[in-house]
Amino acid sequence: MIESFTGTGIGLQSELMGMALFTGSVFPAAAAAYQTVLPLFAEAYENTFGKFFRMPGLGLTREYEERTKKALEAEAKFLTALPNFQKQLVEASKTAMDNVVGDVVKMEIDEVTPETYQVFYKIWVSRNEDSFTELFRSEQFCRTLADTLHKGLEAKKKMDMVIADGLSLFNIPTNKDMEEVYESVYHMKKRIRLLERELEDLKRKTQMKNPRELIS
Amino acid sequence: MNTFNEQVLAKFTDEWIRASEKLTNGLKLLLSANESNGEPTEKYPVYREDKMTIYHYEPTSENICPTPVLICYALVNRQYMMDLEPDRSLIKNLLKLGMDIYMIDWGYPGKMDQFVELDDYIDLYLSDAVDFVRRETGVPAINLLGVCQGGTLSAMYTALHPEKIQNLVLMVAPIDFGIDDSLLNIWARHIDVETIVNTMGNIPGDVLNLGFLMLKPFSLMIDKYVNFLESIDNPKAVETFLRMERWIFDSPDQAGATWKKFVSELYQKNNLIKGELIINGRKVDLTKITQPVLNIYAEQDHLVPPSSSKPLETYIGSRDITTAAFSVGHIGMYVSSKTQKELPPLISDWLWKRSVVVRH
Repeated sequence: MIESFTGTGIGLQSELMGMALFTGSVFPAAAAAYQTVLPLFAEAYENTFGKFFRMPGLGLTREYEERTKKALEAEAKFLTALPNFQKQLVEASKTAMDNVVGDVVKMEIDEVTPETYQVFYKIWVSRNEDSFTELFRSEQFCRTLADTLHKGLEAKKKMDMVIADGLSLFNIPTNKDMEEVYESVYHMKKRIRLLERELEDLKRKTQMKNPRELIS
Repeated sequence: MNTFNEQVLAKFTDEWIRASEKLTNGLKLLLSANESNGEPTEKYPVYREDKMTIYHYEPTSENICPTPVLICYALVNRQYMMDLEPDRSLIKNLLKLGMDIYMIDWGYPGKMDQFVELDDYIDLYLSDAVDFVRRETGVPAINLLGVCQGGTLSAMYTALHPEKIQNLVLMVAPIDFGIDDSLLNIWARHIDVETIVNTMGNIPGDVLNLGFLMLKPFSLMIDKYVNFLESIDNPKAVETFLRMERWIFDSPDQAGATWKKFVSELYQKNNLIKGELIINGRKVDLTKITQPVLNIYAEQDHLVPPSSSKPLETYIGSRDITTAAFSVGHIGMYVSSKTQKELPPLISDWLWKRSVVVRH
């Protein structure tokens, strides 16, 4: 499908050089902006909305109110953590693009004329794969992934509780109710199996001729 | 410069037209595709317990191995990978070589199963499956073939109930989890399993699949489909691709309690090889595996690298250990033409030599 394309290397190279100039200037600026803005946002949040969300509730609805505020706070913490995770992906993407351009420039220096567009595509795929694999293996990424995942799950868990509060007004069982049923059924099935096996063992033993074996 | 651009444009147009023709033919094929369910080899359900079903494959050879084989597949993904296509079926080839095959289908755990423990899979379901095959065939100790995570479960079971297993065969089975060759092992050490399970109950198959795709994101999410476009007008290639695609994304959810123990005890603490894994109050001691063991691994496996499978021989008590490596990836172990030629005879010859005729 990807046909032989002699002579197109120069055009592609200029295109890629242009992209590199763009990524080289925009990505680092964006990454730097992220790094500056994120702590500021987190600090501003802690001093404003954060305080409000942690404020004790009052009166009849205080329990529901506090659960809702905790959910909103968990959501805010997740949203603050998410860009840090995304920033690492963007940086890996930028490194990959730099490497692609480096390979293309090297081809030009070595006067290697690519035969097909597939050559460029393969470089692009392999450089991206390498860049992301290196990122994924890094301790920093693993920590960020774990932190983002943890905060996302905390937000979901707390939001689920708020939704369950709302659903409790209706005449339907909530997930929490159903989970209690599932757990009880699981333990009952286990208990029944155990009793069935004990019964079978007893039956076998009573069918044995030597009464002494009954004791063992 | 203008001439150059005109040439480029002309070639682009020409390439685009031909690509469009190819895509049109491919789309016609996809529109009329009668996607097969796979599993071409005849089999019958012979035992059910909760979500687990045991299938027995109709023997196709006159000379049948005296000791039956029970195949224990992973809880992740489905067992029909071993019988995906008529001309690339490990099951079909093993049957031809006289194996009497039983296969565990773990089913699809639902919310009701979120409290099912790893201990239940080993000491209840797998144990009952082994006992069923023993009863059914009158053989006191059967052959157990564990695949991938099913291999880990099989090793645990054999260590706990060695008297019921005559020979143990492991295929691409993770044993040593303290390795850094696979991203799965690295990521798993950092995740908070407690919060994941408390929030989600069961672990959705799609979430696990996303994790597997992220191990090689560009190869598995882009390059694979670009390569598919190359052969989209070839009916046989499309059929094979669709079957594989169906298998890859047919991912059962994982029972929360089981997943939690598997990740925390194995991926995070590496307790299996340390001899500190407890199943139903009993320590899993790998040195209790004294029967013959055939350990097969894939040299280019990115999910279960050789460094995770190979160390088995260091930890078990058996003196009859055969290790075999294939120059393929994890999935290639089941479907590559090379392994289809070499793997079934390897397993069958090895088992035939070690299967003792003792029927009750």
